Amino acid sequence: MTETLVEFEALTVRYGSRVALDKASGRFTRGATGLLGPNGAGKTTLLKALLGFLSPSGGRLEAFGLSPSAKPLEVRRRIGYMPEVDAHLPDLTAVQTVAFAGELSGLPQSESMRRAHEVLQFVGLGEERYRKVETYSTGMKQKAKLATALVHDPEIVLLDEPTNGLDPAGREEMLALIGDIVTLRGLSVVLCSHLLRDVEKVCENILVISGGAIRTQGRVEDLKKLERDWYVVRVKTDADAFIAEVRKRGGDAQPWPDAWRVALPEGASVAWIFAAAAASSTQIRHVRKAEDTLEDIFLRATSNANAA
Amino acid sequence: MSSSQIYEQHYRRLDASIPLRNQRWIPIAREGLKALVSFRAYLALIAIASLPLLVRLVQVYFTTRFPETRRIVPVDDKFFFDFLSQQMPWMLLMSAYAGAGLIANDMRTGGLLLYLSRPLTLGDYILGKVSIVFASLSMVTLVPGLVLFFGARSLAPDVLGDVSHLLLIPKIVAYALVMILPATGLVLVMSALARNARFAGLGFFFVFVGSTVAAAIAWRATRSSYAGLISVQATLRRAGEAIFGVKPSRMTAELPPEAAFVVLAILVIGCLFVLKTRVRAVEIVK
Repeated sequence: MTETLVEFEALTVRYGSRVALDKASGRFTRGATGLLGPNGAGKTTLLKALLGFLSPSGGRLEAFGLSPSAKPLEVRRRIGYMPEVDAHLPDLTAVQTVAFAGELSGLPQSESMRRAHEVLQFVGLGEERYRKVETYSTGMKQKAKLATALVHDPEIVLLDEPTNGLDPAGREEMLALIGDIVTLRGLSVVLCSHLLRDVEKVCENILVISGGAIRTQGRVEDLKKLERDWYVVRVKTDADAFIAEVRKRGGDAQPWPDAWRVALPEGASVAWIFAAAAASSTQIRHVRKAEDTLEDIFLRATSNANAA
Repeated sequence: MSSSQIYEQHYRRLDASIPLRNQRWIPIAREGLKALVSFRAYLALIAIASLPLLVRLVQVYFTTRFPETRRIVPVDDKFFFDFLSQQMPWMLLMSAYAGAGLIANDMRTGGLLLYLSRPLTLGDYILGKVSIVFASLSMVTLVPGLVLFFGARSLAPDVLGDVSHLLLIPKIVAYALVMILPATGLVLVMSALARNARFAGLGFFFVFVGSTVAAAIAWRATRSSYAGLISVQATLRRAGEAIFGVKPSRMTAELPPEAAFVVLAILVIGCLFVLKTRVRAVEIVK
């Protein structure tokens, strides 16, 4: 079983009378986990609680077996945090900022400076590391924040919207870096984002959060698997006759953009679709095996939340 | 483009876990002071604020050459009290220069989050910032005060060579602390309340000057001897007079010294309370 780094159960966090996390339960395992959710869903609140900035009003939250509100320093020592907002120190160069962050995390001064150079090379700011961070472009600032989060070699890195404000090339580069952190360096990552594509590209696990609760979680691969055999079918002529035939034969059909999604009866093969089409005198233009996309999973999870 | 090949050459994992540092505020203080020292204006301020020290040392030298001048400018407790009191404007300037941006800039640039997402407590952060202001203000009050004492003692051993004069050291330290601590607290509170260093500096001056004006108005309205306690400057001065045992000036004559100490203690505690409630990481995270 994959090692659990962070676990929370019935976690409730309030801002005064407003409930930001409502009995949320889930876990972050080793590897890359995507924390997906619409704006205001409670993603950043979960990160705040994990860093010990907020004390839960109910439930249990543990990181590395420790409670962040009881042992915040021990927990933060093992966490790297890349915030969504700008976070640099005025008048300091990137290498000074990152080295200082390393020292604040407990690294000796000389080791901290050495690692600052290393991580800045790693994130691709090697040539620009002696420039003041406030003079950086958005993409460079994001990279500097990533370097700051990595300098003390944390066990888990919390990335809050790391691709925000980046152009397509910058976005690809940032995602490649995050992928490297996980696959080549063996660090664990929590990628907090509302961009499904970013999460899909990097993460093997996801948690979908909405309305302060975890709506679905698990391995992306598993969540994409459908309970029944579904095919996406596009027909040329009378789709109604085809759908009626499918349902008459014990199958199921749902509307799909420019097509239909057809579920086969137990044990049937793709030939069953062609038989139904022949029986309804319908010409098939396109058939492919259907698979849930991350967007489907996300929309289903959040729409269930809205319905509830 | 494969980035991995390039990046492969760098970043490596640490072999051992990093222990928690005991004195976590020290890197904050050191970096802050390093940043200040890199500004010429900061060094110039210290240099200019040291000029009165030179003048005083010349005075002492003259008293050794011309003993009759001791009647005009006696080198006694009042001599040191006056010197430290005269350093107050420099202390205010230094407070505003060194302290106004310390928290305001961190809040503006999100640097506060960089600190507080590390293994640091809020107390470590505040202590680090306090140390920066404390050290800067010491450079224009405590350090010149002590240099003046030891300089005067070596220049005029017949005047200050007596063992009893060593009591001046704790007096100088105490008055310098009485001046430094409220100023440090006030400037950091202003810095935490304003997101702009200039506004914080102006707010700090406003409190010092405004409190003296308010005290004058209150005195005219009430004729109460306690009205002077509203003025930070008058309260500091009264505490200094009590420490050095000098005759109170006309401005502070009616102020009870005990009340001055209580007001200053409340001011420092109040500042710490405001800092604790104002400096919070969750306000930065969105």
